[in-house]
Amino acid sequence: MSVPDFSTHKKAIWIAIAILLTTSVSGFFMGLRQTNSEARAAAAEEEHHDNADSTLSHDVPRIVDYRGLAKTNYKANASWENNLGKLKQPAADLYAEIFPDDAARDVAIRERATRRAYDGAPPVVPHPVDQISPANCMACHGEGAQIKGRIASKMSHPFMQNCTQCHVPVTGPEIKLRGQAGEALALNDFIGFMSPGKGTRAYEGAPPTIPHPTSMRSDCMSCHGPNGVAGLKTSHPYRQSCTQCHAPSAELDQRLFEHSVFPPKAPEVSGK
Amino acid sequence: MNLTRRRFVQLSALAAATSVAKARAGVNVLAENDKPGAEIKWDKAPCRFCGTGCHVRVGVQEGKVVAIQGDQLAEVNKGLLCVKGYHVGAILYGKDRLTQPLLRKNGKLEPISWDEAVEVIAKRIQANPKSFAMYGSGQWTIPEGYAALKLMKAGLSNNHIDANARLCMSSAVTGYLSTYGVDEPAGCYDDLDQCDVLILWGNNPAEMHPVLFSRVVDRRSRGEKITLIDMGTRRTRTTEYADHYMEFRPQSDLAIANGIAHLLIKNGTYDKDFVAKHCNFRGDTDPVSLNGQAISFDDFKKSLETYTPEYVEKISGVPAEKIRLLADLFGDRKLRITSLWCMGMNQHTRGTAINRLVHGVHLLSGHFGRPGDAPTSLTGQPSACGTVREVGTLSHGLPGGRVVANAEHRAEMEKHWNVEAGRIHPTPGHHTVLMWEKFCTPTEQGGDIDTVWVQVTNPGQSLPNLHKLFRGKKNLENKFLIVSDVYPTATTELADLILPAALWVEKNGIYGNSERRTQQWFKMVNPPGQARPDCWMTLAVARKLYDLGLPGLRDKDGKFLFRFTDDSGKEVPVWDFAHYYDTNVDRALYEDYRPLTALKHKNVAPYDELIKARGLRWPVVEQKDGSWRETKFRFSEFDDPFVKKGAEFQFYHSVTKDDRALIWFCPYEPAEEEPDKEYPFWLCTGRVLEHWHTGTMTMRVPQLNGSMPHAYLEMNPEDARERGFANGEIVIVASRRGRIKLPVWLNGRARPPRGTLFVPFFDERLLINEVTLGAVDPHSKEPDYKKCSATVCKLSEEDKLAPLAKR
Repeated sequence: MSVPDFSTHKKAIWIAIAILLTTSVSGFFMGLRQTNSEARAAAAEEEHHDNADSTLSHDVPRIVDYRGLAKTNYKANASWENNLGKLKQPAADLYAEIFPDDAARDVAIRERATRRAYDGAPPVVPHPVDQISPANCMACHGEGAQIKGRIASKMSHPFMQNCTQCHVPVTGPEIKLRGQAGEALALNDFIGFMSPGKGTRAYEGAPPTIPHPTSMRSDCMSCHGPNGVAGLKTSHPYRQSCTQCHAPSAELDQRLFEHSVFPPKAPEVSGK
Repeated sequence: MNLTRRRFVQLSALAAATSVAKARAGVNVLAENDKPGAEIKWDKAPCRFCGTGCHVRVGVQEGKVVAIQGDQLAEVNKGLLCVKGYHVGAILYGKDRLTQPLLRKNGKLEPISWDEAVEVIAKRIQANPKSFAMYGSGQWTIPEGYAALKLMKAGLSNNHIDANARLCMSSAVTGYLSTYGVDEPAGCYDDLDQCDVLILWGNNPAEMHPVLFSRVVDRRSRGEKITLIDMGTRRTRTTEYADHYMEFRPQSDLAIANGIAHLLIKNGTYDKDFVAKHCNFRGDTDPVSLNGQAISFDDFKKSLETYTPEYVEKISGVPAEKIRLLADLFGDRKLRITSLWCMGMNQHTRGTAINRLVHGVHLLSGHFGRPGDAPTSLTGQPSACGTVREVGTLSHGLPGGRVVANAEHRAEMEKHWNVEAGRIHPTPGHHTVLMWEKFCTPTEQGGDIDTVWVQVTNPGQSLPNLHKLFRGKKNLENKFLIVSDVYPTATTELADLILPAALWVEKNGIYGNSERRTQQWFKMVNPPGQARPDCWMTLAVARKLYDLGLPGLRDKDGKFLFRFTDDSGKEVPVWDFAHYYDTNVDRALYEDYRPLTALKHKNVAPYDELIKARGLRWPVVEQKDGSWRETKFRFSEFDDPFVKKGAEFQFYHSVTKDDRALIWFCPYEPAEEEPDKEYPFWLCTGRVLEHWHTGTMTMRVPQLNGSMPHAYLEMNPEDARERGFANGEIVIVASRRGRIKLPVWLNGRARPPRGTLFVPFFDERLLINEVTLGAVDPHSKEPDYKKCSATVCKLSEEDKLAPLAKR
């Protein structure tokens, strides 16, 4: 690709720059002035409304200028309905070729870690939630959903009813107390155990064991299925019975006899 | 690179937002290598937070807690936790842990050694042992509470020891005592698996006891039918799961309970057989007393006559047909009905009365003592039952259900502690509210408490009417506040001496939960810096007093009141911290305490059995084969070993000494302070899911703080509109006692009806307890945090508010 020779158009470039500067500077100040005058008009209008239109139905939202938007209590109207769950989902391609990739797995583990205090902690919710009802969670997470690039993972413990008991939104409530250093309180040195690593294999090519507990993670496809996390996806999602080949760990799943209520050998009783 | 400027801006904004979100999510630097390092060692412990008593598995790697799991072997939670429980490990690692003793010198806190700190306390006590008070909590472990109680009542002959459990469940205690003659629930959490109907009396377990709530609502996933009835003063997350929601006017729960009893009698649907065999009737004396006086069934019936469904509707706002619905459910003996309640009924100036009435409705209808048929009060602290109620760390209490006013009880304790007769003072000390009032009153005006030692709690935030009951200390030169804690708090702000404490699995411990379950854990990690267990602090001060020659610290034989020996019988100097862990102090104190629990048939399990179990529910009785059996259903012959054969039910500590429980009549009475023209709103306070108690621990957990970073004012949107409040606007909440500024949250966590306000109390920067009332129940001395009159206004209208009462 050749570079144009600017030296022959020097004068034209200076003129162009001058025009551009004049337009942008004057445009900027014009813009300011207009905004101010409009704002004054709007304020006057609002005042007028307050005085004169008290008979106006309260159901009709009043127009405010953009600066006032943050202070309003605009919400979805009463007939609003969340239909995300009814969005038609593309059929998963169970036979797409997937090659295990350590680098992608590493990225996936790190991404997971951003939403959990440690491996096994309930992930925090990265978006605002309905503060009072868990019904909306199920719209997307009941069966899992994929909307453009975003994946709502399928919940892996569908018998649980009270989603927000364990999963809380990191975004907090929609109201914010400004100028109060609340987050400073939350400085914390806790370092969670983030990944149990890979499962073990008895020999090259043997099916790996499950390296993590399966409690609350009973639906393997939630993370490892076609709608799961890139880097953790199984290469054979068409197979239905995961634990036929991949053994969970009795130790991790708290099924070891010595962990039971009455272990065979009495544990050490020292002051420690 | 094919990157437009617009896309670039989008991406950087996204990256910024993600990093903020990550910071809030509390993500730490992920180790470069995600392969496991040193092996994780797992051990069991009860959760540090509420009274549910979930067991967690604590994962420790290289001396630090790195992971938490719900313990699947625990019957309470069966592997599930709530968001607080899953993050309980992080409470140990807040940046600003207290790590060394600090003494205020010329207004400034300066580091001192433990030796100096112990000496300061001991000299302070020695100077005036009678004006010293200890204030603990339901977060004390059983051995900590027992040691503190013994130091005060036997060592100093001083009954000024109380616990913050006074503020949260003492009305439940007086309710149990005046109904059954003995404290603590007859049923247990197994009732939640069996009940057909669950009635929630003014509580919100979806947020406050989420694991128990899930235990009930998850039954629906298994196809079981359970009718959930939510009686409350505002719609909450719990209401979302309820089949019936009954919104009542604050204070009117007494009218509802009486309305149910009225219909049971009128319809003849009460359990005549159960009542004839197992119940007596009771009414108030004038003036009121804990055990009241006998009344006849006819008196009872007559007292209830006015409580027709229509009259109850008029008082409570609950439609008459819903009162009939409740009475019909209770009138059906085939159903299993469990009632749960917590602070709504307990933090009530009529707390004892409403507790009695709910027990009464269950007794009258015979919904008692079969699995699923139970009136059960929940607790909010991990050992409110185990330590405060069972050990008796209250101004009137002694271990095992004994009281100082009873000469026999005192004599038993004097013998047990090997001290001379008369050592224990027969007059109860100051209860919590009075203790703090006296501490904040100048000595010359009758403020007879001049030193308070606070352990494991935060009265500077949790007491009601803070200006009067806590901040008043500020200008009193001769008052001295000692605070043992793990983080700086609203209480340490006024402390003269701060002691850094070990927290949770940084020490050994024993807790007792809401269903009579005693739970033990071992120390798993070291506390930071010089932080030490509260129990050691108490013992070290006791020893210093002994060394200083205070006679009370010697037993009858002149030996130190607290003796710990090793296997060979040699005394271990546990007061010297280097030797504290040479023996298991917890086990020694607990085993010393254990025989005392037999008096009221609260036989707790031996320490060695607790080690093996995920808690055991008392009474725990040794079987012929040497095994130990816990009790799920007290007073029921089929399960309780102390009920005599053939009795079916036996209330063996009956007030009337005839094995019968008492069905009380207590009238509805208006609240201490009701909305008026100047303060037209009801103000209610409480907790939220993410934060536990005053938030000192949970506010330091990024995941919990991120989800709920500050307190808020919840009100009805119509009320907000009338006042021109926008969502998120900072406004003023004011009462006669104080005012605070905080943001309005409309259509947020709950839906309060018109004329009511709600503010959570977890936020140390927004102290709603500067506004609350502090009026107490006459029997339990528990303050009402759920009701007082208040007003709200815009910041610009502050000058229009009536001036505050003189402080």
